[in-house]
Amino acid sequence: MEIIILLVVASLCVALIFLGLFVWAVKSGQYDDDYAPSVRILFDRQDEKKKTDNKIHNNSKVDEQTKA
Amino acid sequence: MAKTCYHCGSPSQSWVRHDDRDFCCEGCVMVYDILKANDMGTYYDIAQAPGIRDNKASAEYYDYLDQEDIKRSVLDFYDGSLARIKLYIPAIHCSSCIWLIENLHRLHKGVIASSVNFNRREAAITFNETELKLSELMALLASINYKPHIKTEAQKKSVARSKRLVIKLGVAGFIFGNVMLLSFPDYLSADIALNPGIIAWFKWISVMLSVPSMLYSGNEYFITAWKNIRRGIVSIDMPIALGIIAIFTRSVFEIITNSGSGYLDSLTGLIFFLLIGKWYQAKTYEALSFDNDYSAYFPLGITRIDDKSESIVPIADLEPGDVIQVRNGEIIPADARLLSSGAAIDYSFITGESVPVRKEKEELIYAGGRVIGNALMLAVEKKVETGYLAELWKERSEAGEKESMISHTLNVVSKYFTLAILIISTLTGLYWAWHDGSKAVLAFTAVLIIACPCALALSVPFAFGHAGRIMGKNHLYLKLSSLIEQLTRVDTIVFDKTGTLTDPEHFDVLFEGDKTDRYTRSLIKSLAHQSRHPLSRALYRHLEADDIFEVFDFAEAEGDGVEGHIMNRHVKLGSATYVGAAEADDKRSARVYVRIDDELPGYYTIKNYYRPDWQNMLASVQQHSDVHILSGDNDAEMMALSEIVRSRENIRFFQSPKDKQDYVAALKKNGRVVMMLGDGLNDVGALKEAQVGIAVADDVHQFSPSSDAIISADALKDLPRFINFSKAALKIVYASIVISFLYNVVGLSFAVTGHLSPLFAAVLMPLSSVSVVVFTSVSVMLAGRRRRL
Repeated sequence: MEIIILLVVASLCVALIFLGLFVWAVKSGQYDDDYAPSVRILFDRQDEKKKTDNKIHNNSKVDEQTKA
Repeated sequence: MAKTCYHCGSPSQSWVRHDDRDFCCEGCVMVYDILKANDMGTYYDIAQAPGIRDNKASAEYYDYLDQEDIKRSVLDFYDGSLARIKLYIPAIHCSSCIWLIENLHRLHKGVIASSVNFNRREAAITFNETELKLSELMALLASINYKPHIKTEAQKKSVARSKRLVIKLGVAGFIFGNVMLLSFPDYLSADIALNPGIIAWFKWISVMLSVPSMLYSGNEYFITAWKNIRRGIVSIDMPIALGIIAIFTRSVFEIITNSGSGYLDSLTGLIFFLLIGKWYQAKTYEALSFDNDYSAYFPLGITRIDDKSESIVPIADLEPGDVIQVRNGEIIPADARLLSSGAAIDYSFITGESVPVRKEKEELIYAGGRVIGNALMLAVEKKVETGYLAELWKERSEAGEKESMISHTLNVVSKYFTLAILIISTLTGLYWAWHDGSKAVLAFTAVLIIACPCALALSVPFAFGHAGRIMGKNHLYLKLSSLIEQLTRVDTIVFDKTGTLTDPEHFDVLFEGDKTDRYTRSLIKSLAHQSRHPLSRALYRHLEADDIFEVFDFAEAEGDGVEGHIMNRHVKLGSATYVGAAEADDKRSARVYVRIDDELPGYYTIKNYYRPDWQNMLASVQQHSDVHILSGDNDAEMMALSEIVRSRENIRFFQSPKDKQDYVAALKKNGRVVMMLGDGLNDVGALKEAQVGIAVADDVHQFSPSSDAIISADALKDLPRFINFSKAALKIVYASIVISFLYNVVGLSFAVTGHLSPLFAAVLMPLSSVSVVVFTSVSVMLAGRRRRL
């Protein structure tokens, strides 16, 4: 039966690890902003894309004309 | 669909055609060009018309930030080249903003990294100070119309406080869950129960877990209870602390003597619930700052001139006698004497007067005025912190100390409650000591345990916390949700006029004189376009002429008027004497006279523009409370206001900031509970003096004077509904107090007679808490719905 006590102590230790992680997450500011990260993940990284993709679109014609 | 600006999405009467798109102003075109030149068109793809319209910041405005000591005080990290700063940027409002600010490094290679905290409207920027000076960084942000502000000390502090509460809550929840699990076997019936040896182990683990729950998570109850005892105040924290101690000692005693299983699951649960209540009520608006002092409005540094050399010094270092230079658009930081020949000062900040004031050489100028036109030389008369404005901020009568931290009702109730509990428990203990000595201690602690006023303590946080959130959704932002109780007791409401009842950005413009044709109006508009004077801007916005002509020989006489040559005609706009017209008899409202060559077609009357629905709002609040109106302006609006306000006595004009404060103080002396609504620095004294000071803001994220609450100008018309709603919330608190009393009466009747069964106590304690939480939350929500909030 003593094994149960051992198990309880072990599970408490695991739970303590998670509590520690929670404290760390709060302190490192992960709960500070609940909006920006959800948007940030959708942004394209400039250097991974061709530059033209990021031009202002429907005046590309005007640009070409002026260059010409 | 109506035409809107490609950059900022605002409608406009004059359009700038650029790059095949329509823009409302040159400022928007400028930002568009900056972004286009840097291949940052994505800005416009993420959200529609994400830009901000503003064009006032100038780069030199931030020069003072390059002073070594100022720089060190505002930067979070600085090692000579690498620097890090957190800036408050209220203009952040959409996902495009996040994208743009996090891609700042593409606008300037000196920026190393930047990240946005949307909730706090804050940008953390790491940059290379040798490539990009702090002032240049600020100017860069301002150039794309994200005007940055240096964070104030109060803003920095509130973050740390809310984090600590979340951690405490997390720890309490963790302990609660584990103790619940460990005490579970205790509730099993005898035939499936565990070995008592194991249960004993579980109990000791629970005891060990409960200690941090009490001493760490619940420590504030002990601290406040102790503080209050020493100050001779009885508060709700005292019976809570007493209850916690009683439950814990009794549980430990039962576990040691093996006479029972204790109430540790209830104890940890109660602490967890109490903290949830605290956290719920403490929910603050991180992006808003309620505690701005005058320094938030002033620049940090100013140009000082000694022996013909210029240097920028922190304003705190200014000494009487120093000569300073204040440029166009800057705010005069200290009371000073004018050395330049003449100047126009915009005092709208201080007095609410919308029209700039003309000051002559040697005249004393109070701090807070904004310079319009040429840079001025001033001799400082008083140190910044002893100036007129700063004194106003500091002044606060003793009676003004607001007891808003804790609910007043709860304080009164808990005072009698605590005394009653102490008396009942002592009497019970004495009775049993007399009759059956063995039961005395048990009955005594049983009373303390069952009377632990957790349900009582939860009623206010949840009712007011929830009501505060509903108000926040409707754009009334409370600094503390307990302010709701103050709202219900308000019987006198004082309004500021300019900027509060009226909209400072709009004017009613009326032309009196000969009929003008479209061409003439175009001439006037073209000239008005050149000037930044508020009256010119009002005129420019009012006139609908399409054509804007080029203006030659433009000249502006500060505080008098403007002139210029347009299409070979000499046009003058300004005061009657300036244009040489006969002054009209009624001088009260602002007038702009027109002269074109030798003709005098007439004049424009420019009046305040009242916010929509203001009459209904005033009439409605007047049903329950006295309405007073204080204005720093002249009495031109007397007629319009006296139609609504019951007594003409209650409308005062020409009120200085000090007058307003004294007026509110006098009302308070007569036993009134005063609510003050104001928008500017001129109302600061009155806002502080009043029991409820509400700042009215067109944009709540911009700096507003320190106050108890901030209301968005659009929501002002809902003020009667907010007051009504807070009254309902208070009634709900009363109801939940009655409910928790009923629980206590039932529980106490068992405890006093010594028949409290452990199981009954273990069920009753959490049940009372949970039912009060559910009752208050649901009924506050329904009350809000009924009022369409």
